[in-house]
Amino acid sequence: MFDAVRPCTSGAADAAAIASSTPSTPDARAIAQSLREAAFVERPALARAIVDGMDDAQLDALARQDGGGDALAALDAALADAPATLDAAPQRERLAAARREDDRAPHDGAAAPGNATGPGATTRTTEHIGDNTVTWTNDSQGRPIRAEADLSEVFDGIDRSSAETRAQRESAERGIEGDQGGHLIAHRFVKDQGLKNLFPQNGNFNTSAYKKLENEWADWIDSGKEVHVTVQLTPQRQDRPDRVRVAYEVVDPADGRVVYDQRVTFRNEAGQQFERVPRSEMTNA
Amino acid sequence: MDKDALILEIGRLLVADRKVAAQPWDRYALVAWHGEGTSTLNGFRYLGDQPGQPATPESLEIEDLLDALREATRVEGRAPWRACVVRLDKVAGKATAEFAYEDADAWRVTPASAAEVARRARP
Repeated sequence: MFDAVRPCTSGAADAAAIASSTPSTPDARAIAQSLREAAFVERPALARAIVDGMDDAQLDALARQDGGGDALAALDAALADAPATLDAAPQRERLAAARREDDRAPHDGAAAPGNATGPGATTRTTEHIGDNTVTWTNDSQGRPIRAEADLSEVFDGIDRSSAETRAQRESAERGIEGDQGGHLIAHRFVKDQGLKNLFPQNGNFNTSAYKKLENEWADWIDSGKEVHVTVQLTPQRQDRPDRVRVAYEVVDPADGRVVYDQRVTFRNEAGQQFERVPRSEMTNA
Repeated sequence: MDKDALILEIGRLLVADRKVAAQPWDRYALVAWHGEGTSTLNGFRYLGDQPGQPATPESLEIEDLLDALREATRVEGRAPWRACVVRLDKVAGKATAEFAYEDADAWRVTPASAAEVARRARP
């Protein structure tokens, strides 16, 4: 069974606590956790109560919070499973508006205002490089935490600037012996982006397993597909990540169909094998 | 958490996952596969009699729980499982897991094998 039996009153109590305890700054983690811990059948009512407990300004504040997007998504997923007897449409519309507001936030080429101070703060930066769009999330020291990329163009034969090479050296120096300044999103997709796109990466991992994955993405793009990528470094907020988690989705732009999606977890160490999708399998995918 | 609690929690995360929930489904299968130093996750959602559609979850916590599940299901004298299939049946409210300690390559998902793996993984 994946639903534990729980008292039916717990959802409303949790929602009230979440909505009222911190009226100006709703806690994304608490919201996500309460939904996870609720029995499946109670989640829609709990999500509705949480959304109703926040005004639009609080929903917008939640959307801008680190982890807020995930909390909004979890609320929406819970409401999507609401039975016909529980009208969740108004709450889902308010969630959609909050998510749109977050998308419109001024991220282009610069830190989003007001989110880069304090040790736990993060900065989000979006760049458009040709047809590709990438959003990086970096911590207060500029170290990358995450990158999300929509890729449909490969820039072959682009030289790296001296500034990029210097940034790679600087990034490698945060690591251990044998590390290189490795790109979260390969240079061939985003050109020179400096430290926000670099982490100390084991050299063998960079030039072997991770490169095979990058080659796979380039071949998907060459075959006419779009690749949506999320790279997450873990643990966060330390100089050298132990693991690199990658999620990618290959979409046929002709009909929007997801032709392939996968998540891969790498260790930041030598000797890993990655079995990439052969180019021959992409043609008819 | 013990094995059953971990499977339960993975099921909860899958149900709440934005990408999994983007389209309606009544059954779901998550295929975890471990290779040489790397591991992969592929998810499929099913609605009625339709073939499984790719729907790998976004939630990063699922991998931590799968790592914990791998430890919790270790069999003395054997390497940990190399593949695991978590199956959810939303209508019945059931989550089950199957582990492959050998012959795990049957669960390796590629574009060429995806349809066949989705068929075998179907709850």
